[in-house]
Amino acid sequence: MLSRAPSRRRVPASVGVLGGLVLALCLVIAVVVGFALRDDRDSAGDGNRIVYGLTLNPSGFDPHIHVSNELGIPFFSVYDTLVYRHPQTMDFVPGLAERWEMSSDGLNWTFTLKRNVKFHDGTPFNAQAVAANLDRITNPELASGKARALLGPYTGYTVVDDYTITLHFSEPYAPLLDGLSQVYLGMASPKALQEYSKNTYQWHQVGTGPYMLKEIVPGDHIILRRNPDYAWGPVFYAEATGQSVDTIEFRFYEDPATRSLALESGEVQVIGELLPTDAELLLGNTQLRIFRVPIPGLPQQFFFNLKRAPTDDVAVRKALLHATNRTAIVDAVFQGQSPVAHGPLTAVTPFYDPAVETLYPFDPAFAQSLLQGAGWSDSDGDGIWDKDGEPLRLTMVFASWNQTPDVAQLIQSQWRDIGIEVELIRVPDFPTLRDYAQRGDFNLIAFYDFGVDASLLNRFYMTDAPNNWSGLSDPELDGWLQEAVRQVDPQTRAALYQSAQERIMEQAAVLPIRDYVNLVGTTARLDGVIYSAQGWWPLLRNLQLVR
Amino acid sequence: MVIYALRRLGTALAVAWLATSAAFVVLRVVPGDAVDATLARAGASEEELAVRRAALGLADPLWQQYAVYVHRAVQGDLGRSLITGQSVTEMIGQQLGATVTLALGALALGIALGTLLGLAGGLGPGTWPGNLAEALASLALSTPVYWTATLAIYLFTVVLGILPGTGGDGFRHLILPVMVLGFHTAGSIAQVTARSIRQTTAQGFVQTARAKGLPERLVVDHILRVGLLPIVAVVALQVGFLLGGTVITETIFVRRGLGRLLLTAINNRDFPVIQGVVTLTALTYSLVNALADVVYTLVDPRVRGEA
Repeated sequence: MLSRAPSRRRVPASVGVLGGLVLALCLVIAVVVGFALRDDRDSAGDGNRIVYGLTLNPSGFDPHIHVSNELGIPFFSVYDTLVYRHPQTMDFVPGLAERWEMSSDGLNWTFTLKRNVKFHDGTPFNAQAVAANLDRITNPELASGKARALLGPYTGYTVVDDYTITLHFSEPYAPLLDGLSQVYLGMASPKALQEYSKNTYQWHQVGTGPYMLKEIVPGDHIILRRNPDYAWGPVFYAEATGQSVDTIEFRFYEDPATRSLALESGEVQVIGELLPTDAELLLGNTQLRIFRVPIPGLPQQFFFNLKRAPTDDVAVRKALLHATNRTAIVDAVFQGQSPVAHGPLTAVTPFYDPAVETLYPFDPAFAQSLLQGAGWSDSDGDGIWDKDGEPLRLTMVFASWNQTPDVAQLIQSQWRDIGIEVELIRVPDFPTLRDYAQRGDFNLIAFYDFGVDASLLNRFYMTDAPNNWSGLSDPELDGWLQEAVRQVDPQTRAALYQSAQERIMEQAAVLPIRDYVNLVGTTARLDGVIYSAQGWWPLLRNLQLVR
Repeated sequence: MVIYALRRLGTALAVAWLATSAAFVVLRVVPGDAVDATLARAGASEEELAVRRAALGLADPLWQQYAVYVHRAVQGDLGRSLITGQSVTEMIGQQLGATVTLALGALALGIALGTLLGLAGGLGPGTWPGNLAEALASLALSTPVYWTATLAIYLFTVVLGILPGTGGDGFRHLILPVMVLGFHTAGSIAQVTARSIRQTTAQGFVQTARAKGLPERLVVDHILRVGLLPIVAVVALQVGFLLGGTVITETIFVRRGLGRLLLTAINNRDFPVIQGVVTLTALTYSLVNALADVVYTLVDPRVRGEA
């Protein structure tokens, strides 16, 4: 060991260290310069090409199996559905079915299919193809998260001929066409379904839509290519032109703060769910355009817990509704870019009842008189209402998405002003939120979902509904909501939903805050930015990239 | 020496096994599972949830789930995602390359920059390069990665437009994330190096060397031989920081990788995926540290006898 020592000492350590450092830095610089000069795959143009920023990384992409709204952004254009909702009128228009008819008892729906439609792999579209899709979706092995539920009381089908199929139901089911218009019931190529397993099909999806799936790299990107043969689109799809987008690459921008940066730097040409503050700033940029896309369904809202004091008292709930300055919240948190919500449905949702708008104006004095009437007072003079020795203290539970924490803080300070205390509990994700809901450990909890058909209400307000977190139990309301699903006539449904919305607000089961609006930013060179009736899904077919 | 290395390897494997088991238990203690995260959110009824849980094996007793997991894991089978049905090994394989590239790049930059700053801070306290180095090291340690990352994207991509900020897996897209993560990795390395060099400088043998009139160049040489040794240990520890840092870096720079795979899996309570990533991370971390210990005994003759 000693004999080795002198040979090591020949080179001073400092020279070795500094030499190593310089070498390492040179290497880093060389790599940087080398690759900086190299042309990236991304900058190589292949026709009209855009990058579309998605806002979350869906865990699964198969619309028949998976449930996220986000998957519809690319795949609504990979598939066609039997029917579509017109984005402007919300009416049903032909998709892959050119017409349909319901039997007089409402138990059978017969669809006449378009001819000369081909899947991306060349397989012809016909009644057998629809049958193969229905077989797949209803197979319990597939464990469909949403598609199967959209079929409601479906019992089976009969293939009448090559272009006619009848769907059978055990009872009348009004939301059927709405379900059939969603990407989750998109028609997939029977050949591809056979070729791949239920787990691998999602990487090889084949539909009849205006765009074809070229590549999915999980966690990184999805690439769609324009379908040159597409000629069977719904009436609101534009004709392809020289400016149609040939290739669309989707990437996942989960960090909200990065979205506007990516848009400004031109790394994406379209991106959704911009932060309201960023959208406000970008409005001044002439290179960009900001779209406010209203989303039908439930508003951003808090459910009251009807089974826990003090929100078990309807007077307290009404007082809280009057004590909330929603306009101030929308202005401060959402930069005024969303409408104030007043009821259990957003204003763009069919069957929305405007009567709810006048029910709970912001009126702190009236809120206080309501509390007084319900037996509350400030007996100990600490500035907080109390009753039977218990202070008026509430627990508010919410997850961190959609600026809900900011909303909650504003509500906390507004209610504090009139003597109500709120404890805020912020949870990291949905399973934790659901855990609070199941334990009933809240007075207010933030939860909502999206959808065009008002039957969405059934999932949240019927006594036995899985998402009835408020614990509302009103047999008359249950009856209306149930009946509205069985009644196909729109006017009958409208009347039932009107009663339902008014009852929910009379019961003050929910604190609506704002109608959900997707703030989409695009480059100004992009025309034809239109979203489907469901709000989330772009009509990629209509995009035009102006050179 | 070989026995020592083997013993360290054994410890590393034990640590990985403990980490996996801890993850297994913790995941089942926190509320919610994959069925809650997906089906329940879509409004499925309790019966439907129960059927799905049974099909996924989530309804089995905990010891049984654990036994099945360990039995499979020993054979190299990490199970399948509860959400996509994809094999966990395959999912990790798809993301591993991107994370390793980012982590190695950041580590190389971190070591180079950290040592440089540490030398400047340690050898020249009070001088302006020394102070600048100390300030930079403190900045790297006290600012969060997401802050630097957002700032870097704003500066280099939006204002200057010379480097791509987000998206893309080309090499140009690697530069900013490596710079940001490397900068933060450098912080601890710089501080430890500076402190170690200052301590060494104060030691008796350095004073002796100076007292006997050894040229300052050779004194520095003596200091470095001893003072730079802790870098080996701190670099190994930084691997832990890097594994956490890649999660944030990948999300902000919209890069694929294990970090985002893990994040998505946690949000969806996709147990097999989380356990797979945790096992791999724990194994990497403890192996790197075992390796560092072995390297340490090789480069530091003082420890060699003890091993």
